[in-house]
This record gives sequence, structure tokens and C-alpha cells, in this order.
Amino acid sequence: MKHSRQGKKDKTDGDDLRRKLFPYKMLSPFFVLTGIFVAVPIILMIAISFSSMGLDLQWEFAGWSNYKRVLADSSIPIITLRTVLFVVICTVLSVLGSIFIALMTTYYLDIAYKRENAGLLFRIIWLIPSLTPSVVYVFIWRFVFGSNTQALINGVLDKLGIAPVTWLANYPMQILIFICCLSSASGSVILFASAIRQIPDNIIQAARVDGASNFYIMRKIIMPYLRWPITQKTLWSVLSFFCTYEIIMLLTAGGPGGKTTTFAYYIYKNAFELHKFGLGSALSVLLVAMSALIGLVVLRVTKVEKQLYPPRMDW
Amino acid sequence: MLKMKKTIGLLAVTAVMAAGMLTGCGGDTAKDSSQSGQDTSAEGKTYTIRIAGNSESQRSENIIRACDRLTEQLAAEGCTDVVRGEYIMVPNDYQNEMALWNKTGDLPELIVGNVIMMHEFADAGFLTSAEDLINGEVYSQKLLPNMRDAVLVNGTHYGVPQDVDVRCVWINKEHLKQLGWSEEEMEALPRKAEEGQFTEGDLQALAKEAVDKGVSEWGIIHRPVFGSEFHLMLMMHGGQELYRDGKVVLDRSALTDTLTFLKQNVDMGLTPPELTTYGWEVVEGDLMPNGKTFCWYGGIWNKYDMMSAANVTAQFVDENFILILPPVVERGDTPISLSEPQAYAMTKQAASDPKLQEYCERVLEIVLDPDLQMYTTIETAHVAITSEMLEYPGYKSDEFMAKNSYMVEYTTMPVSDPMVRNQFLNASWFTAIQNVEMGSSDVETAVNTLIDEVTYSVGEGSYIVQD
Repeated sequence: MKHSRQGKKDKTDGDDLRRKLFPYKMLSPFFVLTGIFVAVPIILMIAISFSSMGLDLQWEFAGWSNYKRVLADSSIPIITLRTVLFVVICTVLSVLGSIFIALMTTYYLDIAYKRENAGLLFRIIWLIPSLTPSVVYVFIWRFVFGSNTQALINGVLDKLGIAPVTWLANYPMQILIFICCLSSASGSVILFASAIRQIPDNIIQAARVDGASNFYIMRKIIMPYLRWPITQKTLWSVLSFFCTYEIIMLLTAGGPGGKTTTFAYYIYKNAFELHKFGLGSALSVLLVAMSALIGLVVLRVTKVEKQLYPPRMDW
Repeated sequence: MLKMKKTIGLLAVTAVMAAGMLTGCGGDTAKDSSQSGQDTSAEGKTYTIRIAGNSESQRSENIIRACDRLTEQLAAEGCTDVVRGEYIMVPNDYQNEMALWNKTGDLPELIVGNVIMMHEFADAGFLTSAEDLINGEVYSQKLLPNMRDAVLVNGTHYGVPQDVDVRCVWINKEHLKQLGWSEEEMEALPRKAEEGQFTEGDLQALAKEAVDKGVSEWGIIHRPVFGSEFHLMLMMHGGQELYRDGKVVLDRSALTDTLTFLKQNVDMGLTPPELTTYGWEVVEGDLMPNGKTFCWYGGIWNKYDMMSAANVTAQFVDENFILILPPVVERGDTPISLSEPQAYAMTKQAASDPKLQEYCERVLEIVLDPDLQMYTTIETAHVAITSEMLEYPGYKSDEFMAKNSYMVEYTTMPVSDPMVRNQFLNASWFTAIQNVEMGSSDVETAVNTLIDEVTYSVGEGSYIVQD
């Protein structure tokens, strides 16, 4: 009898353990993939940052020398400041841009004026920048802002008798921000559009019955529903703009005179052009720390923990 | 039991037969063919020589043919080995690609790249010495003496030149005519520059006259991206020595004089201030061929590039431009030019098998044959690197080359040390030029910033700053 009770207890304990372990078992493929593709590269990056690895890819311990070099680099403060400004401006503009496009195409065209086909068409057109490969995308903008009269804008100016402007020389950062924002805003249209579509029709109709204008509905009903997508988009934008380098490389190569060199491009330049992989890794560690810190600030500012409790889109 | 014995017996016979077959086919070369670049057959071996080149080295045809020619030579010698060339185009990121190839132990046997890149590869231990090749009979007899040290790294030759360019100044003939120059005067100009009687100041004055009279839109332009023309300008203004005893030499006065010259050109309306932000398609495809500039600091290869970028003929280029050695700063000085040859080098993969290395060396000797040299000279507007080529009818009959090949006598090899190239010339020097020309910085500030940047970048004990 005693044995039988003991056996039942053991069985129950075993079931409890299995139940407790079940989620971890289900997550194990994710842990493995994250380990291989995220944790290992991070560990390697940190390890390389303590080496003097060059083109021969040999790991030679170099202590803190790479970090000391970074701290002694007189260009780091200006590059950091430039990067923060680039990230902040691009994030704000791309979030506002995404919301604006989504409101125009989804709320006004789809919901308010029942022109769903037109809304869909505009959304598809707006998706083009984010669907275009970076190389092609930048090539198109280089053609648009080219310095000679064969380029698009200068060609038009030439036809109007206005002297051509060397756009990329005079406004490199402005153009860089513009094309980065356009691409980023374009990619998030689907996110915001689907969030707007999830708003129950009866809420909007009730507001209309109460005499609310489109602008009022947009401000008081739609915008609160977009809090979660805005948080997600903001966080995503911050992290991706911190890491932007390929558009810079293709558009301005960090120039002219280093005016568009951001932290990520500086890392690329040190690691893959000058082949100082150790220094590049040390810079990368700092970039990861910096972006993680700003990411946490974004999460705190947007009070993400409060948004996680109720249903995200249809509360 | 009997069945088991039979099975064991059968296995033993199979094993003996397999061992016998392997011994008979492979002999001493039973290596992994993909690793060693060779394949074995009953008659002989097929050696595949892989040649990696970047997008600037689209002249692969000559080396592929050299491999075929070696096979013919081997057959004539009674050897049945076959040598096959395989060109691997690496359009971008050549250095990083090489690093990964090296890491996987699968470097191509030969590589083509500019001499500066070769220095980095030699430093990284990717290359094998080419001393035997360059000191051998063929190279000793054929190669022009000033080409010998093109890939000399820390006292060892790690490669041989594939071609050679020379940097020069191109002047638009039509503009000179419009300024009232006679044919005789134009014909005499290259000689005058060679004798050091045509100075940088003379060139500026002429260019200014052309711009002021509306003959051309711009007076003097240069390449839009970093490159050796700026290295040459620095040398011409007294900065010949950029590297001494393993240290970067920063000559404040040469840096100042060069930037002052470039700044003057902008201030005089000769150079577009934003030139360094233009694309090649504007410079080589429009400004140069369409007569929008009086002259430019470029190189002999601009002929080939203009023909590709602007779709102009060789005849157009020959008829419309005069090439002169870069004018001296002080009258009476001896002019100098600078070359940045493409070079061939053997990797340590080639050295992994003595036979493979021997064939690689023979291929690099065959590639000096004049008909194969045509690919890397006339067809891409580069100067001959062998004495034999200078006398070759196909080369001699080309008027452009006949007129301009003399410049190679004045050429020097670039400083290829990665510290000087990457941290000084390609990065900080170009940025200083860009800032001065665009008016973002005055000359003195640009020089100070450059010195700060380079001294930080190369580290304590690796630089010499001289006034």
C-alpha cells in the first residue's frame, strides 16, 4: 500500500517535471539556432576584439589594446554624435512616414472613403522602395541626384536653364536620411495598415454617429490602437539605423570628407577595408552596447510592459 | 563456416585488387585532386591552374592561352601532362575573399591584382616567393629593368608585373588650337615637359586662359576617387619619401604645397570644387571626352576607359589629345611619373606541389610572349613591360603607344606598404584633398588633421613627421 502510494507520488512528480520541461523542449530548436547564429557570433566578436587579427585571420591576443585605441580615437566622438543624430532623425521620420502612408491609404482610402482597390494599389506602390535590393535602390538615387546633366534632377534643371547642383556633395547627409527613411517607412506600411484594419468597424461607426470628424477619429481612436506597432517600429528602426552601412557605402562611401561616416560604416571600413578585424570587433562591441542601451530607453519610454498585458491591437 | 571463409577470402582478394589499382593509377601523386589542382589519368596528369583576379583584371585571356601553350610545349617535349587555366573573377571584396580562401586551405594557384594588394597578400603569408622566376633566364632577358621590383616586399620578390601604366597629363588638342597654338608647338609640348621646361605654373596659366576665353568649362581635373595620381602629386611637391625604416613619413611642407596647388585650381575656377564626389561616368564619360576640361591628371589607361565609358574610338582619342609627363614644379627639374602595375603572384597553394609550381612558373614565362602581351598592352592601353614587346610589330605600329611609351622611363613604383596606402594615402590624404577642394577646411587645418589622423591610426613609433 505504502509502495503503491509512493509509486503514484513518483508518477505525479514525473508528470510535473515533464510538464515543466515541456515548454523548454519545445523551445530547444530555437535555443540551438539562437546559440549558433546569435550567441556564438557574439562570443566570437568579443574574443576577436581582444586580438590583433588581420588579413591572415590569425587570432593573436592583444589585451585591451583595441579598446584603448577606440578610446584614443579623436574621430569617435564626432562619429558617435553623427550616428545618434542619424538614428534619431531617421527613426522619427520613418515612424511618422509609415503612419502617414498607412493612414492615407488604409484609413482614408479603405475605411473612410471605401476605395479599397486604390488603397491597396498605393500600398503596393509604397512597398517598392523596401522590396528593391539595396544596390539597385541606391543606384536609382545616384541617378536621381547625380552631379551631371544626364542625372534626373540636374537634367530637369538644365532644361529649365538652371545651373546643375552637386547634390551629393552639398547635401550628403540630408539625401542619405531621405533615402533611408523612405525605404524604412515603406517597409512598415503593412504593419500599420494591418493594425488599422484590425480596429473594429463598430467603434469607428459609433464615433461617426456621435459626430466625430475623420481627423478626430484618427487622433482619438486610431492612434491609440497604433501604440504597439509604433513601439515595435521604433525599436526596429533604432536598431537597424544603428547598423546601416551598405546604403552609406554605396551612396557616399562615408564622404565627402567623412560627413556621412556613421559608427557602423566606420566599423565596416576598419574591418573590411583596412582589415583590422580586432579593432572592428571592439568597435562592434561598443555599437552593440550602445544600441542595446538606446533600445532599452525606447522600451522604457514607450512603456512596453504595460502594452504586453492586454490584447495588443483590439483592447 | 565454409561460407564465412569464402566471404573473408573474397574480401581479401578485393582489398588486394583495390590496393593494386590505386598504386598503378596514382603512384606518388595520389592526393586529393581538388586540393592540389591536378587530376590523374593513365596518360598523364591534368593540372588545373586557377587564376583569381578582380574586376580590373578582365584580361584573363592571355593567361588561359598561356596554359594551353604550355600543354603544347609539354607535348612537344614528350610529356603528356595537360595544363588547364581557369579564371576566377572576384568582382569585389578581393582581399576578404582571399582571406577566406586561405582559411579553407583552398587558395587559387595564381592571382592577379595590383601591386599594392600583393603587398598585403605577401604580408599575410598567402604568397610564395617568385625569386626563382624573376631571376630566371626568361625574366632576366625580357623584363624591362625598372619593372623588376614591382612586387618587392621586404626584400623578396613575390610576383611579376602583368602590365604597366604611367601617370601623365592629358591636354585637349582642340582647346590648344583655339588658344592659337600651331601644330608644331603642340608636337613639341611633350618634349618640353620631358625636359622640365613646361611647369605646373605654365599648365595652370594655360588652363586659366582656356577657361577665361570660354574654350573649355573647366581647366584642370583629376580622378574623382582616391588613387595614385594624388600620390604622384605629393611626390612632385617634394614628398618622394613616404616610407622610411618601417615608418610612414609625413612631410608637412609637401602636403601643404600639394593641397595649395589643388586649392588654387579650385579658386581659379579650373577644378570643380565637388569633383571628388563625381562618378567615373561623369569624369571619363563626359568631362574628358566631350572637351569639358582643358586637361587632366590621369594615366595612359584613360584611353581604354574613355573608349568604354563614352563609346569613342581609338582614333578619336589619338587625334584629340596630347599626353605629356606631369609638368615639373620648378623649371629645369626632371619630371617623374608613377605606375601601379597589375601583377601575377603564385600562392602557397601553387608551392604545395613542385610540379604545379614549375608549371605555374612556366605559364608566367609564356605570358611574356608578345602576342599574349598584346592583351595587356594595346587592348587595354598599357605600356609594354618587355624589351621584346617594344620591338613587336603589333605594338610598334600603334601610334598612341609609339608616341607615349617613352614615359615609362620616368616612372617609379608606388609605396605599397599597407600602412602608407590604407591609412595615409587612401583614407586621410584623400579626405584632406576633398575637404580643401570643397572649402570645408583650409590647407593648414587639413594638413594638421591629416597628421593627427595618420599618427593616431598607425600608432606610436610608426611615423615620422618632418617639416
